Amino acid sequence: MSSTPDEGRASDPLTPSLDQPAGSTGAMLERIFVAARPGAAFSTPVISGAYTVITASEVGAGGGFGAGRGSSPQCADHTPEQDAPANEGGGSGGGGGANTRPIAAIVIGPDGVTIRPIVDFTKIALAGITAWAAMLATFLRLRAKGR
Amino acid sequence: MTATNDRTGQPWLALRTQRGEAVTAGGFTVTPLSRSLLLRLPGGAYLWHRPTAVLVVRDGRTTRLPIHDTTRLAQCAIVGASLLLAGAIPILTSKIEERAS
Repeated sequence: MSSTPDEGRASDPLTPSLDQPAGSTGAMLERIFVAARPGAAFSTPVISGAYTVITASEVGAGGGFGAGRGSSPQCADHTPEQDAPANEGGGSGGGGGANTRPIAAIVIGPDGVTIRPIVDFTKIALAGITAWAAMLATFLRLRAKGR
Repeated sequence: MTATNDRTGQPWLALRTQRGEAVTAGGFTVTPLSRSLLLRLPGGAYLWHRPTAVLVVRDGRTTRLPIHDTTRLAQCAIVGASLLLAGAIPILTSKIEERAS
């Protein structure tokens, strides 16, 4: 008897089935919580010759929902005996997102195990530009005040 | 560290250190370690999960190699330096004005 990867996935209570729609908020949140497993932060090892590389990533995920219901003030005291239709309304909505950013590569080779950082220069440059612009704005405002 | 919701019994805040699956290659056994922060609120949830270190075992000797987020460190350094400078600019400007007068 052989087992397929799908069978193994279904037996894992933490792993949601991709065929099952996230019908309820609980199911949606459970999908977010899957990212809390250690496997979400570390990739599967990639083997190339004598080297094995594992990518370590930072994972951020979040989701939220809200619902509301209300009625117009004149219908708030509406009784079933009255013929006037109730002027009520309601709605709900939700959203979520996830972000994964590689931060280091774990390289296992003949020389040993090394951690090689993965630097996102775009993010650093953006932080630098924003900081420089904020400082320039502060300086110009002070200069204008001085005059 | 876990804080539990009294009504539902589920943790609303959980900070965990986890061990990933060990990988054996080239005589080394590497076990990844990560830390996750889970915040569960009535209207939603937030999760932050980051790798912290790897445990390397060779010939019975265990070594811990930390994983540093270089991008985050650089961003924090830039923001910190800019905050310091933003605080220093008014002081420097007033001193220069005092000298000029």
